[in-house]
Amino acid sequence: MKAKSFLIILALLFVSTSQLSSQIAKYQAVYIYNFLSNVQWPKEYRSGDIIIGVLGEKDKVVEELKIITSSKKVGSRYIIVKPYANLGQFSKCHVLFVPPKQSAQLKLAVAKIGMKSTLLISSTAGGIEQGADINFTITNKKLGFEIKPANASKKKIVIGSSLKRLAAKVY
Amino acid sequence: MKFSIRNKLLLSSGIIILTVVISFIFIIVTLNESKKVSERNIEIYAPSEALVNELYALINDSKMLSKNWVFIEQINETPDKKKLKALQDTVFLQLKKKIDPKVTFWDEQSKEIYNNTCIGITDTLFPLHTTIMESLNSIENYEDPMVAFTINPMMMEGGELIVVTDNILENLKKLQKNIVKLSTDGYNKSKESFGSFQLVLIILGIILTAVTVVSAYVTMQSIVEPIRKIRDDILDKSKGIFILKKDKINNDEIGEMVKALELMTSNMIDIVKNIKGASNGLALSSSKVNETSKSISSGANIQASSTEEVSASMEEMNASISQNRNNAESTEQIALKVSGDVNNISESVNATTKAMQDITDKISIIGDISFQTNILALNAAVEAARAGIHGKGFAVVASEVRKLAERSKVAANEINEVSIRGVNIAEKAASELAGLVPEINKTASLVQDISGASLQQDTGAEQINQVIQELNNIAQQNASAASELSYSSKDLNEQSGELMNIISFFKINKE
Repeated sequence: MKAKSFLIILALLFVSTSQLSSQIAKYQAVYIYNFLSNVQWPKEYRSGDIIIGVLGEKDKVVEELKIITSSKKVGSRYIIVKPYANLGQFSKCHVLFVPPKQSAQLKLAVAKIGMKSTLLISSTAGGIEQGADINFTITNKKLGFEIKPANASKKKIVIGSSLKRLAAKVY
Repeated sequence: MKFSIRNKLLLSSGIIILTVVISFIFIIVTLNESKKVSERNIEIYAPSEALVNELYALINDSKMLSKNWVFIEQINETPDKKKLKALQDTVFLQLKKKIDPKVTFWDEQSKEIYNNTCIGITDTLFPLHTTIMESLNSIENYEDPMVAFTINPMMMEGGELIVVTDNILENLKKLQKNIVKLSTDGYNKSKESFGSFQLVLIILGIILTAVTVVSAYVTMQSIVEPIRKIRDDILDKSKGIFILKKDKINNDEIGEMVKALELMTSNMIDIVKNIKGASNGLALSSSKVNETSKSISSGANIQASSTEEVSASMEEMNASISQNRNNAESTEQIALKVSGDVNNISESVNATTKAMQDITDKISIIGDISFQTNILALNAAVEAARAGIHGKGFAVVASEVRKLAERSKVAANEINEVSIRGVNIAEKAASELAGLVPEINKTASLVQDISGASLQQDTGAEQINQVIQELNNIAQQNASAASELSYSSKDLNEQSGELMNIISFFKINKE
């Protein structure tokens, strides 16, 4: 049923741009949630809750993520969505999503993360080149993503094969 | 009412048969219950358990097949995909069709779980499967992250399909537990039922045994026990113990036997008493017989000697009788001679008598003449008187004539009287002689008789002598017999003692 709803919503994405933007945020949240299951963090990140940091408190993705993850777990671990107003608030997290509106801070985010095992997800053209591990793309009004496992592996993060298979591009 | 052994045995058998019949009814009823429970277990619960397990396996398979559909098999119409489709289209429906009739016999909770599970399967799980099947119906869709990320989470841990499937499986587990519980309960009930059946069998066995034992005990008490007493009584009697016991008498054939035995005992006691009395009397009598036989023997000996004496006397008497007979014969001869003499005398006397009678007759003529003379004298007196003085002289003559007549008459009378007296004497003598002759004849006859009698006596004496000889022999035989009798009486005495000894074998009341 939900799948159908999703398909219907997907159809409605084409109705308006704003609606498309909302839908993209929603799908981005879905994608991010799915990434959690297909990424393996180093040992020190395998206990406790999974924290998804989002740069930008008021981004639609935050709400969508909260909706999606509110009733779900990864394994036995709860998922916490942690919006950061700025990178100064950045703390240890498993994922840091930089929404399109925050793409300007991507490089800073890369720098901020450094060698910390935080999966950096961006949503801007050239995000991979800027140092993101995964970057959302929109092709033919369809949300896709590209990955660079090498970036992730530097941070001891292993990206699963299914993500590689689904990715629009693997660097 | 007479409660005979037959009736007792019939009653006893009847009670046992009734108990057996009741037992059979109980067994059949209990067995029927057990059969029902067992049948329900075999036909409902055990298949239900298998079918629910099959359903569980089916749903579990669907989970695996769904995962395979989503994560592994991207090409269409693989066996697993076909299987998942078939599962949804036919297999589940067929299984449900098998399960539904059994559900009626389940408990309410299991029914509710099953119905909810079926609703969950058809309304939630299968639509999710359909979504998966429809979303991932081409390789391109598998490559579409939007589809993948929509579908994949459903298959992840905590994913919708997994949760739904797990919930269904959880419910099915509950259902399995319930069914297993039902099956176990059924098995336990069956076991319990068989346990009850076993218990019933044991109880019935105990009851049957108790009834049989009680019946046997009662029968034994009423039949065997009296028979045992009778046996003991008969054994006592075989040992000669005849004691009249007053046992309780049953109103049956054994009671009649006991009565008959008591009567026999009573009779035997009387008989033994009588035999004892008789044997005592016999002993006494045999003693007396012994004594008597001794005295008889003695008497017989005396009798024998007496008989010999009598025989000698008889021989003497025989000689006397012979002499008497000879004397009698002589006397007879004499008597016959006397008789002839007396006859002669009698004839003489008769002649004398006749002569005397003639005299008397002649004298009567004188009397008649004197009578007539007297009458003539009287007439002459009368005539003389008429003649007066002229007849005086005639009167004197007439008186003298009458006197003479008178005197003639007196003389005639006297002669008559003497004649008559002589006649009478002669007649008397004749008569006496006549009377004497028969006497003499009689005497002769008697003497003849005596002679005959003496002859007979002689013969009789001879016979008597012979008899006495026989008597003598008999007396000697008697003496011998008496001696034998004495021995016999001694034997009898001994035998009576032996009889007493034998009879002492019998012990009767108050002994």
